[in-house]
Amino acid sequence: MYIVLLCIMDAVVDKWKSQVKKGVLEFIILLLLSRNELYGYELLDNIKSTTGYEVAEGTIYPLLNRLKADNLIDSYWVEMESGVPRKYYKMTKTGNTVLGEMKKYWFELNANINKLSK
Amino acid sequence: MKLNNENAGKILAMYQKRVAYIIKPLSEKDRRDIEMELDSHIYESMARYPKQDEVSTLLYALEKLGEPEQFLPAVVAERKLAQAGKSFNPAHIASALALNIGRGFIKTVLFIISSLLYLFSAALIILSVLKLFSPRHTGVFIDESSHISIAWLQTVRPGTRELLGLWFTPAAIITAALIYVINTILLKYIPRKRKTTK
Repeated sequence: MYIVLLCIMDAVVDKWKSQVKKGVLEFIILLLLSRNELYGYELLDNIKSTTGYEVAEGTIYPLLNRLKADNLIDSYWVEMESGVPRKYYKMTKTGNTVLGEMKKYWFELNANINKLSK
Repeated sequence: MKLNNENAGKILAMYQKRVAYIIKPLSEKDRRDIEMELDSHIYESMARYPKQDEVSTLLYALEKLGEPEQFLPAVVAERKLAQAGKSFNPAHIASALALNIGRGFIKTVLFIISSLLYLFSAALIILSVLKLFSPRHTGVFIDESSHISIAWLQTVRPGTRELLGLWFTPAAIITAALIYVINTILLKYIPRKRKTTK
C-alpha cells in the first residue's frame, strides 16, 4: 500500500515537473540566446548543462521555429570547415523586450512563491 | 552530409527520405532550410558521441534526434501558415488550414471558423457572377418575416424582395475580398500548440 502511494506521488510530481519545464523552456531558450548566439545542437547542450533539463532533441526545432515566427529570435547560416554549415540563432530587439518582461514576471512569481513556501 | 560507411549512408538516406516526405508541402527554400538544419544537427551529434563504428554513431544520433514524424509536422504547419499569410495564395491557404486543423482543440475550432469564412468568401464570389446571369434570382433577399438571406433562389416567393439590385455584384466582391484578406492576416495570430520536453 505504502509503495503504491509512493508511486502515485512520484507520478504526480513528475507530471508537475514536466509541466513546469514546458512552461519555462521558452524562457530558458531566450535567456541563453541573450547571452550568446547559438546553433540548435549547442543550444540543447547549454540547456542541459545550465538547467539539467533533458529536452527531446527534435522538439527544439518547432519551438525555435515558432520563436522565429513571433520575431523573438532570428537565424543565419554559417559555413564551416567541415562542409556542414551551422544555423545560428540570435535575439531580436523584440525578443529582448519580451525577455525583459518575462524576467520581471519570473522574479515577481519567484518572490511570491518563496513567501508562500516559508 | 557525406558518410564513409555505405550502410550508414543508406540509413541516413532513409531518414532524409522520411524528412523529405513530411516537408513536401513547403516551399523549396523552407525544405532546404529544414534539411540543412537536420543534417547539421546529425553531424554535430555524431561528432560529439562517436561510437565503435559509423553505423552505431549515426543510429545513436538519430535516436536522440527522434522520429521526424513526431517533431516535424509542427514546423511544417507553422511554416505553411507563414507562407499562406505572406502569399495570400488560395492553394497555400487551403494547405495551411488542412495542416493546422487537429493541432489542439482551440486551434482546431479557430481554423474551422477560418475555413468557414473562406467558404463564405468563395460563395460571395460565385453569387456575384451568378448575379450577372440571373439578376432576379440572386442577391440579398428579405422575406415577409424579415428573414434575410444572401443566396441564389430558384423560385422567388411573392413578398420576397431583393435589396441591393445591381450593386450586389460589387458589394459581394468587395466583401469577399475583405474577408479573404482579413482572415488571411488573422491566420498567423491563431495560438499555437507547444510540445517540447520529455
